[in-house]
Amino acid sequence: MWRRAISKVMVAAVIVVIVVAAVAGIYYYVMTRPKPKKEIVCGGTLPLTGPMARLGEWTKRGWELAVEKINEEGGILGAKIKLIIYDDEWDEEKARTLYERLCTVDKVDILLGPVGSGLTYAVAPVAEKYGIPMISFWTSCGKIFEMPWPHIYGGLARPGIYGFIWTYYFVDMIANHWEEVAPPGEPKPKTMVLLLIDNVYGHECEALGIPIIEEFGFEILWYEFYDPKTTDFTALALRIKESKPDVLISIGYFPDSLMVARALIEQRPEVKLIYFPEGPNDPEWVDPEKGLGEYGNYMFCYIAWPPGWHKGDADWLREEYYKRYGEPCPYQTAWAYSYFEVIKQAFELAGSLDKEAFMKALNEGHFVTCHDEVDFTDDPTKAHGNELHMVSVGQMIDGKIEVVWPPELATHKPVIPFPGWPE
Amino acid sequence: MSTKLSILMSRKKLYLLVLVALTVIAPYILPSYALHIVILFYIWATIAQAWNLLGGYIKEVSFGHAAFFGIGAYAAALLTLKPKYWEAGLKIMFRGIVPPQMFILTIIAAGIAAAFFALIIGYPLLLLKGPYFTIATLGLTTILRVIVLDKSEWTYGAGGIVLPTGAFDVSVHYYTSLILFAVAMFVIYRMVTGKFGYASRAIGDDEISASAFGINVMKFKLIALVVSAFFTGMAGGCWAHFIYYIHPYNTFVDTISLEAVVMCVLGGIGTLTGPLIGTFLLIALREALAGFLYVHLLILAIILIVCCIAMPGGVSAFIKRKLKVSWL
Amino acid sequence: MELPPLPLFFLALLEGSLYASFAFGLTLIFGVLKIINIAHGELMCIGGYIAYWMFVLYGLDPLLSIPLAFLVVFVLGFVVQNFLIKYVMQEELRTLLLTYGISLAFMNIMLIAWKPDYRMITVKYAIIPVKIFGIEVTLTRLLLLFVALIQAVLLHIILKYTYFGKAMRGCAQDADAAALLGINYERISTLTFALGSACAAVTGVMFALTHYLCPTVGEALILKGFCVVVLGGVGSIIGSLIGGLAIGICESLAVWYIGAAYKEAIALLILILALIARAVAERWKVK
Repeated sequence: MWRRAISKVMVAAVIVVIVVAAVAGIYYYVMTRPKPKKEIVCGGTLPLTGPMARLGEWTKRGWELAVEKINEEGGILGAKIKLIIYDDEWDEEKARTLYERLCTVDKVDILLGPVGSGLTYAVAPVAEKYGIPMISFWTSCGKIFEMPWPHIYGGLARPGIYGFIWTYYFVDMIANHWEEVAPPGEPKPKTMVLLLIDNVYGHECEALGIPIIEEFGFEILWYEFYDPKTTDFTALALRIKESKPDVLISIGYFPDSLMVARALIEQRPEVKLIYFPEGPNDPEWVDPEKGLGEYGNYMFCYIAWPPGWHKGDADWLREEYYKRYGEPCPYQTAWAYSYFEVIKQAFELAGSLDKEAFMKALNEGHFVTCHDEVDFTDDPTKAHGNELHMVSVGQMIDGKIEVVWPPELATHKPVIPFPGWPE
Repeated sequence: MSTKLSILMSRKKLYLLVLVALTVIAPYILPSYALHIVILFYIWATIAQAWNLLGGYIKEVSFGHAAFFGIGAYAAALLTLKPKYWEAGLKIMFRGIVPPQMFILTIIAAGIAAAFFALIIGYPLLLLKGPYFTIATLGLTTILRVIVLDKSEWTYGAGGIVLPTGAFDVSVHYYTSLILFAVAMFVIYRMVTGKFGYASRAIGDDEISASAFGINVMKFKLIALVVSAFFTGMAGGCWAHFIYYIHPYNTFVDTISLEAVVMCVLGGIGTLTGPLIGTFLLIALREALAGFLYVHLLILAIILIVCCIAMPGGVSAFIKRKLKVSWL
Repeated sequence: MELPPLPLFFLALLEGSLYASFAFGLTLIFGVLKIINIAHGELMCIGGYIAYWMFVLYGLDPLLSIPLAFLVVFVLGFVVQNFLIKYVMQEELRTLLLTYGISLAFMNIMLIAWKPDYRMITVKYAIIPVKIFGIEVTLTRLLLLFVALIQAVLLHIILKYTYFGKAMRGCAQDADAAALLGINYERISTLTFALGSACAAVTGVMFALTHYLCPTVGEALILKGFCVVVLGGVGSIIGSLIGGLAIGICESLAVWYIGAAYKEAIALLILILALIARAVAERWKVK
């Protein structure tokens, strides 16, 4: 009886579903009415569900904050910005389809890049095909900047180092500036062990980083790739404990860095320097609930957005983000926010809303944003990269992220060597 | 009576002709975004139909079709990039380097590679009963992924492979996938309406009785598996050329297997039109729900649950009953 | 090839106890209802989140949350089985699809509600290292092992000595014969599903204590769970216990000898080989 009742309801439900699907489809096609002149449509996809959902969420907040502020202040050259975001679930197939949709159905003027070099690689040709400029700061993979994609602007990279840049500064610091950062008499570190996440990022670091590390004179005892879905690093931690390296570098993203650190805290290997490119620079690293609490101290990381950077809308952003979300603004949000600072400044430099003038301005302009000073390469036949300036080395000291290198930006002297595992 | 029937027949043929004509000229009338979706429909419908052979007729539920898909994708990609792998064998025909325009051959080779793999592991795997077979296939995808990630000297590992065929005009991909779909449908149609169809339905209903009747159960199971793998592999190759950037995490993932199963079961297993309806529904729903940012997967899940309970035999059976359409 | 240090074995055992604990509920459901419950991982997560929020909001110690999580997910499992799964139980494919849909639904509800942040219950006594046979282990990991063992013992007692347990075993062996003996198959299967889900919740509580909880962790565990169930023998609690511990050890050995990249695959490889070996052996015997 219950089943028959549910069947009638279900007939209705299925019919509704099919009708909704048809209506939604028609609705989107009908959306191609002539746009009011005074509107700039910007669109992109983000991983709002799936493994990178945190990054997606932060990036979304950055975009939304920027668009709100700009629209409140009158838009760009009188035109308001319309922001369209889709969820690509960090999947190439879905991202491609959605970018096609953005270009043809939503008729965007500017594309905002997806998260991750892999996805950028997959969707860049869509931007090229339709001739729509795409701005993406979420790509550091070197291959992209050699491709013939003049509509693509992005990158947080340095040619030749690319993805390894997040670790490069730390290695450079301990290799070439040891006397400036270490207490006198402390012997220079010699041996190193690396853990790398098994994906494009990790492999690029292996290809570019290992030679650099060896050139700097370190002896790599061993290095291993780990599956991004690993949740338990006990075995690796034990291996590290047996090897007793001077330096441990674990290259991955925040979730896995957290779990590696957890395994280290349990096994307590003797290591003098511990570096996670992404980990201690996230305020949740020392969160007593979600992170390691006080056990996350004294590990190094990179700082992409030093607290001492006050240019662009940096201070406003920090304040506004804290007001709305009750937590310190993550650097990913600052990166995302800076997209729109670049867009605004480029349009203003061009003096018009014309696409060609906009792209010319992007090539030639020098932009000051809330996270960095942005300058795109202007080779008209290739994708345009931006050499990242703002990378420094940080360390979690007593529950606070401090910048420890370079000296011009440092807020604290680094604590070297690792003072040992708390009891 | 017979005149009525003959008019009916010719009307149906007319509809069919119009449909075929539309599909052929689609690249010239459809906007790029819609074309994109139709190509994906062809590819996924092929996979769903291929799965249907094994899971719908023979009732051996495989949750590991992503393995065949991935093998096909990687075979097509590697052959496109490293033609020397098969240069030796085909030198006579092509006198050296195989140009990228010959990528259709890589798709066929992809299918053969996947079918070969199925042939090797098929016999031991098919010895397993029901749910054990399902669980074993579930593991296949992960094992292959780990191997592909590790042996990066041969497979380019985590960095993935970028195929030059992505630069082709979308109509090339459209016709390739259309041909694949048409061929798959034709072959499967002939199989299902022939001896294979009878035998597999008997096996699916009751294996022991079927073998008592003299049907060589293992032979038909193997045929189903190998043909299924063949078309899934080809679809994988076609997909690789279309998406033109593949890596272990968009080819050897369980979500691909699960999507294939859902498309088939939702539409209706054991029928020819079932998988088509299921594929169409899933793709249409995905696009329709794209605007609902955080809840689209949840809505999809609820629709799935509802359809599962309310529609035994899938959506096609449901439509058949409610709308009294018999030709589905 | 140096032998791995002793701590590795012990720690592997602890990791394996997680798999075993996860598999208890799974094997019961598989045995009695003959269905593959894909939503098991998400049910475990729900248990974990219950304990997490009880701890964060009310300071309730997670060990005390175990009965609470058990009850809540018991009811949840009861509802799911009675109003959803019951109708499709006969057909294997439809049930698979249904449990997949349920797993997707639960996972996304959790994602929407609690975001994909990683959370862990950090009680004050969590980091206290305990020395067992000279090996240092964190207390919470040991607790995981204990809870798994207690679960095993309790389930074993239920199965062997209570009416409900005997009814479960009867239904697992032959549902029709059990019905002839007056056992209400529908009721027993509903209760079994509820019990199995509740066991998953208990695993979830311990998981939240020792690992990082996130709505997506269910996906990876379910695969290993099936490995344990099949290797240990469907419906056998002791089998799941031994199977889980064995897989934990094999994984750690694989990481030590072959490399971390193979960790996820090793359990599955063992499973497939074991299954095929058994099938081939059966064939041989029949011949």
